Amino acid sequence: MADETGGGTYLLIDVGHVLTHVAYIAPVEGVARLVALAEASTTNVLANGGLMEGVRRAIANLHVLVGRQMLEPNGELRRPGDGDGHGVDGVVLTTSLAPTLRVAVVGLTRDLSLASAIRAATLPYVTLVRTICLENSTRRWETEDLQALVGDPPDVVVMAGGVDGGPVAPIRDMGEILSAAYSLLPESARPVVVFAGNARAHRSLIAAFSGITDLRLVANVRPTAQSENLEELRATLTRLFYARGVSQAAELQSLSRWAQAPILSDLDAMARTLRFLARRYSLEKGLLGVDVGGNGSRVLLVRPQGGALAWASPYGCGTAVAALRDLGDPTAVMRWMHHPLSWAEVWDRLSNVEVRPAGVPQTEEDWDLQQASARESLWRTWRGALAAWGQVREDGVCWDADVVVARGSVLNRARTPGRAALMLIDALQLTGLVRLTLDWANLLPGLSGLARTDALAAVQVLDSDGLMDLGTLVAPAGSGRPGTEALRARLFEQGELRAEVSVPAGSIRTLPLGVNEIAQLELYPARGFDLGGGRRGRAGVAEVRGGALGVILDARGRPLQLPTDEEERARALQTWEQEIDAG
Amino acid sequence: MRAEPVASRLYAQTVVEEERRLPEAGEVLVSPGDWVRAEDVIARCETPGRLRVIDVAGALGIAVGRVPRCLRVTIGQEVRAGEVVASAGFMGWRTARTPVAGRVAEVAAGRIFIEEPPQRVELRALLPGQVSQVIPQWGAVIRATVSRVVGVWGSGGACGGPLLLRLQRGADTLQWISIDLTCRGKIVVGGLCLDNRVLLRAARFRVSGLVVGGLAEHLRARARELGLVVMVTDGLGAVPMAGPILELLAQHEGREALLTGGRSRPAPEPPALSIPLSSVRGPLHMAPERPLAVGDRVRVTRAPYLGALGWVRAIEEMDGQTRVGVRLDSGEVTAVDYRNLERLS
Repeated sequence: MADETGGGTYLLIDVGHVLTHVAYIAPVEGVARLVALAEASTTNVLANGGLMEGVRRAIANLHVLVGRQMLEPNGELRRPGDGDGHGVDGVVLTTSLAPTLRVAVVGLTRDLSLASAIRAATLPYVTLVRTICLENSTRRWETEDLQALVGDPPDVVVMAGGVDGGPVAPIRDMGEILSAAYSLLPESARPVVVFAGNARAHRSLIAAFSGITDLRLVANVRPTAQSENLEELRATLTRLFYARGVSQAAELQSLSRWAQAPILSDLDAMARTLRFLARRYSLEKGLLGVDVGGNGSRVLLVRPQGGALAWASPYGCGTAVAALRDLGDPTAVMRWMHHPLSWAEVWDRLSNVEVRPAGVPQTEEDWDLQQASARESLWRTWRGALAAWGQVREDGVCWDADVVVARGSVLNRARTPGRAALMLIDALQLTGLVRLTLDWANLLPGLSGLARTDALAAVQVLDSDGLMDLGTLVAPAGSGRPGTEALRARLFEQGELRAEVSVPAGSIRTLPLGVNEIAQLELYPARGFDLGGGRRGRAGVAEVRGGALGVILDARGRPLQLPTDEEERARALQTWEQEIDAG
Repeated sequence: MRAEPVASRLYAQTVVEEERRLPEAGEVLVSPGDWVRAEDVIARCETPGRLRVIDVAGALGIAVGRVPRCLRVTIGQEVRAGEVVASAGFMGWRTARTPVAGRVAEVAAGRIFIEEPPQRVELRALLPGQVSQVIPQWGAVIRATVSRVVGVWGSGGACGGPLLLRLQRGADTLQWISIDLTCRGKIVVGGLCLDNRVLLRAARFRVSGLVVGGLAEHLRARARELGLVVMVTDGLGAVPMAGPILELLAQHEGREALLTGGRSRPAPEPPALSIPLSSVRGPLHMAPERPLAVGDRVRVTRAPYLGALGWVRAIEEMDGQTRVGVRLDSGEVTAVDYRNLERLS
């Protein structure tokens, strides 16, 4: 029996670019559960009452569902909750609306200090506006770089250089010219300077920046040529993001005052929940979190060792289709479509999605286009992440995760669970054995905030309502002649053979296995296919969990090759959709 | 999603509160309750000049330490564009000049920092009406009774001028030849804008602003490059201007209007065209947002009926989703998702 929770009622509010989601958490038979979900369009236009109005509308929609008053007649939150179930005891606010931190990085050596500083600053809520290397023999600044730093000052300048105990003069010169330049700007325009280099230079930098700008001294990102220390710089940038990006956005601040709760960045909060999940399930490889949003896409890789890796891209499915359109290549999106639309038609439809992101597809072509833009957005985000994390993989195949947790309306509201799964599988080129789950109720960021006040309630909700299992994917790497057997699988439940299937190369099959059911899967790949042991054709046994789709056997091979012929490709995409939905 | 309040895209008569804001803090010249005309200056400020960096050591080919000896200017000195700021070599033949006029602000690390002169900015009301609120140091909010069209995309900025129609029907394509000297200083209204030359001509003839039903997607960046204030009323691509919008604009042809191209910061604002109704007096009220209701005039915003007009016949909520029965002007009756409709009444 589960431990009893403290009995508190909570609202988890997530303000996105298009929709504001509200989840109501309350005890049910002594266990914290998700009782109801509601949403409303995000109202970020001041004339419409600002963000608050959208939140109030979502809560009012919740009231209709649960029949409990959560707002006072004057629009304020009713707290604490009373014995009749009206009101709430706590609120958790998360958002993806906070503006990113604009950061410039200056380093002395391209492959050492600058590379490390860039790696540390590669955070989803950081936009790198300029990277400057002073590697030339005279360590002189290019006029263009200096002009950019004073003409359009970033929020933060990260300076890095030298190993601990090394020469100080180059760093002192770097600091002196920056301090001279920034002393000429109005105080409000001066950036924060973060130094993450040779500790011996601290004194001279304090002298240079004293009275001019806010200087933060953190541990050297390259204390020696062989070692790297990124954590303190990352932590400082995170603090600055919350101090400047989240706290200073007036609309978010007023929302925070109204809810009497601090605002959390949804990605930061989600990373905490994913870290918890990764530890809990003792994953071998790691957990990959993906978010395909209206304003961009993000990926988070949480591994058993080391910190979480995160990456954000401007590609997405709402206003962010602008980034796809700016690629200037309609085939990038059209290659994932099986409905024949002209380039001009695709461009016009994407543009109209951009200006009216709250709309929903009404025709099969529109659904197809939305799925295609989600695939392309995620594909590009994943490629960008691999490059940013220094993992060069030409094929972009993902071997890195045991579990994928995905969120975003385009996935949660896909026409079928199969289509949501296909978007993830194709875009990320998932390989090996991977459990696919959806954050169907947009709870993961909020649960991280809830854990701060009521950890037990957070865990109980996560266990019972947090994730929707799509199923377990089995996708061997390699290739085979279309039509020949690529993979044979036998599913045993409590020692009894429940299903057996042979999957031809180029096809997808599913085996039925319900949500929360666990079974043994025997796998016999053909000679051209590798399930992850490093040897092609090697059979194996694995314990798998079920889900809405059961077990997905994907024998299309990796890297995934889309047919080059247009008609053939359209036929293949349509067939794969039918195959995955057939189970 | 449940049926939630929807703002209309079209108002024959409403009250707007238009915020007019300086780019930098400055001086506000009006008080609450003042009546202002479109051309009145309501606030002014000076934007600080840009900083220019001149690499003197690099230009003269000398060491950074030698720069102070080669200077021909002092900190705080005013300089003209092209003036010599440092020289070196025999008889000072090698020179470094400033590309801009301004003030020498600093000399450091072999570089001279020149601060360009501040720019004086005067903020005009653009909308005749009453000042309802003053934003200290930044501007004012002007309250006026107007006819208003809210667009789906705008290029940013704001402009004022009389309305000039260059279309008979909403689907008429705006031709480059129809943009001429008579359009100067006016807000030109067209059906479809699909030709780059239309924008070029509009910029050349100093058209004040452009309002079109549909704009070719690739022309958005061009409009911004040219600094034109453009508003799209119906959609991107070959989407005609909706009949009710065209009728309203035709009624007001020749009248002064304010065109705002929308903005994303500090708070997002959609683009809008406001036509002041000077003769209206009496009780004024803002048009409230409300959910769609049976009998509303609506426009469909997604394929396959993108841009089609119709009347709401029924609204049905099921499983948290709201579907709306719409009788299109073509006579066809169809069910449309609530979020794919805009109110035009």
